[in-house]
Amino acid sequence: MGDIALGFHQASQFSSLIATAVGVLLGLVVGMIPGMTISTGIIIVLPMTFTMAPDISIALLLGLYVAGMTGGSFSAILLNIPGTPSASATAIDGFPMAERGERGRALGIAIIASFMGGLFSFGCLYLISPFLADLALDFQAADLFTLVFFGLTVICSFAAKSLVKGLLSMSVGLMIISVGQDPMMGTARFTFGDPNLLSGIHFLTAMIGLFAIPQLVENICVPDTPTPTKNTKTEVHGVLPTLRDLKRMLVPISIGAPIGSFLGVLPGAGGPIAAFISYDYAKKASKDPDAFGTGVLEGIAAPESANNAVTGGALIPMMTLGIPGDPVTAILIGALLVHGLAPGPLLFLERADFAYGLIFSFFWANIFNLVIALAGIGTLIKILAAPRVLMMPTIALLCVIGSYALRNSFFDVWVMLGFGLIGLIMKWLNMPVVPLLLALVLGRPLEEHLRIALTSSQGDLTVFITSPYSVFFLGLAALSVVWSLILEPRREKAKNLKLADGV
Amino acid sequence: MTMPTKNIIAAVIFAALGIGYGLLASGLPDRAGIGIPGPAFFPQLIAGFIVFLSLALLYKGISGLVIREKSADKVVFSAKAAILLAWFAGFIFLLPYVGFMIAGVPFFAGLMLMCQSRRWLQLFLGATAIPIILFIIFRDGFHILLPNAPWL
Repeated sequence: MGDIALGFHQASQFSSLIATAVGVLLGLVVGMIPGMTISTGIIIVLPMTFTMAPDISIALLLGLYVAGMTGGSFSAILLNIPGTPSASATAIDGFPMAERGERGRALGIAIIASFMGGLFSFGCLYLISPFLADLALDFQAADLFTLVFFGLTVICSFAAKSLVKGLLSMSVGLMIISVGQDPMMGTARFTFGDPNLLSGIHFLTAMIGLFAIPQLVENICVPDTPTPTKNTKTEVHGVLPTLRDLKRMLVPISIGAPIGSFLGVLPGAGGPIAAFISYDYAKKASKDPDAFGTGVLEGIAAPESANNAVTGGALIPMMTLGIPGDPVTAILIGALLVHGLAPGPLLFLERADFAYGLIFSFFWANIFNLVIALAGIGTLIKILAAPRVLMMPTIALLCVIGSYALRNSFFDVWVMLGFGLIGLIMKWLNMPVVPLLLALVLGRPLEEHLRIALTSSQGDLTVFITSPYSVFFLGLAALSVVWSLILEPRREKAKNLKLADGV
Repeated sequence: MTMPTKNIIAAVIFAALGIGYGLLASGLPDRAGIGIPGPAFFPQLIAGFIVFLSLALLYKGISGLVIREKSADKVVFSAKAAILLAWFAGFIFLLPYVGFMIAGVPFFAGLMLMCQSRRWLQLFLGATAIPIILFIIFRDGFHILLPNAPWL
């Protein structure tokens, strides 16, 4: 049996399908709850996957990832509160449509568009990943260093409003990964004689702290965090779109899906950017652009197809190059590493069955997402009115379990809390957390490839400009920095104008 | 607090961090052979980069003060947030001594109270049942042994 067939068989086993369905269900719930991000959802589910088989655990997490994007649109449409940042653009037309009494129609459009976007990105993932992995096998240490370097700079350019702050956040991440044994010689660095620090700081522990603790604090302590009330209308009818609606969805989906897939590949770009760009293009392509914002179908279909297409796009660099496109794929890398599987070009060479299994699990996740969301929407959205008093403390306990269960270490639990505090301080200083987080994942390969390249060239720096790949990646890195430097003053000017106007 | 002031504070913190980190890194071997970088190479590179970026942020902060840049302040720290973190720390401190189930009850109840729970029966049932249920689910369902009290 070929690797593709083996992968399909693996992903289509009963246990994997059940895991995917459970992941989708959890994802829809997590996505629709305002204040809960997909990253937090994955973090709290993560400890449960430690003892599962790798294919089953990844099926569960992929289900959550895919459905989380769709779930975010439910609260955006019903409450005008996006469940995830990626659903912000959906609220622009989704909420007015719901207010007109067409709640079911708006939700149905969002679900179908999400499915189409996801399916398109599955196609991209299936076709591009093996090719890219094959190409990446030719990369030498210098190429790999420049590739990781490019990944980090582009994250700082996209994910951070300020390039300097993004780079600083990234540098702190690189500083943290240098704690522990040096990857080349095994020398203890910055351990202060503490044996707990010898193996370094596990990046999943850091992620739990950085993501979940600030969110808990925000949900529990900040009084103006938006929450649904008991009066929230959660009854929906007419979810299935008509044939006329389906025809009208074709253009916005054909705009959103490719944009989402492409931006998903770029590290740091992510769902919100893809959703807003697609919304804008769909508006420009529309015969009646002025109707956008009043509750038009196209205004829901374009961003929803885009943000779900991001998921497949983000999996491409994660699987083939080991570079996470967003925090969720960074956590997925962590989940794979826990199971002894390192994402990257060698995954397709050494464990092609698993790599294809992952791709087909993504396919099933999209199918289940469509079926469960359409069939269970009426019940699912009742969760919006569920009490939070039990949810937040449960999340707190799961954070502790997640950090403890990684290495059965109390030290890791303290590290998690410490990173929670760092996350809060960074939030207060308006520092982006995402570059730090991704530096925790990419820092070690960055240092390893840099030192291998310099060792093989005996310290000759021209090693980074002799390979066409290295030159290409360095050029892209420079471009992303220049782009960010051009864009940043404009953003700040626009922001100051808004503040001056009291908007 | 305005954004430029925050930038200046961040710059000072990060500059201090970078300098401290660089000084610590200088104690490590910087060469592993002729032309071969040692364990100090990467940290020293990062330390230099942090200091450089801190200076850039300091400049940004000072120029922001001059042009009176405005900022929408985020509410992050409050007395309640400090209590929450202290409560968390207390729970983690107790974990090795009394185990997850016992330490989990007051921790959970405290968080429920912070979430404005005033239904006492719900508070009592939630705080006792959920830590125990989680303990059992992870032990029997996922074979993850959470810390338990030494006498249990």
